[in-house]
Amino acid sequence: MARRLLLVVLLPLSLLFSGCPKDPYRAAIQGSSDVSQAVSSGIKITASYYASGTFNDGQKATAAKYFTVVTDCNITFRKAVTDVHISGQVGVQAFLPIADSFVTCVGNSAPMSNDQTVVAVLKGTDTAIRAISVAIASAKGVKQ
Amino acid sequence: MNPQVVIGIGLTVLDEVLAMIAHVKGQSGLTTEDIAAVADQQDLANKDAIKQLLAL
Repeated sequence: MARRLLLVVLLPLSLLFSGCPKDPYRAAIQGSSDVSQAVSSGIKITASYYASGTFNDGQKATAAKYFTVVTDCNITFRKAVTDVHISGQVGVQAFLPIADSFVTCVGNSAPMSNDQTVVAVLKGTDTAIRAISVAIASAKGVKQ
Repeated sequence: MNPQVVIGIGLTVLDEVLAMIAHVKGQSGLTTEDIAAVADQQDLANKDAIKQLLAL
């Protein structure tokens, strides 16, 4: 039942985050902001799961660790994107490697979980992170 | 699972879907720098929320 409810979150997420911003810089920053919002939602859903007894202490700690890692990687990502923008680079190719680094940053530090209930809660944030590359690649701008 | 618990979780999920829609719609009139500033604030709020989550 809990996993079915999360599908209600995941479907809108994938639709909402699939927009096509005007330029790669805006796409990257919008994507970062979407991740921040997804983390916020994930925290609230985790708290709700814990309060209802769906999550135990270990599951809550795993989710909290994941959200901490994502938030730190997201801050690093946004700073790198801003630095590239300030340096005058405007092409999609300047921003795609930074988005890839974001995925790697989370993958290297986030806790692994085989618990499907935990995975379902984290899936919305993971979708938002992976959508950044798609949004940047889809943005209008210099494709160099 | 207790139906009341399911309804409670369902309402939380619905709230978050509405929050995401408001988030995306709210970005349309903002500059890129404004969106970055909003994200900075959200990340700070998230860090506080994670601390509160761990304290539950």
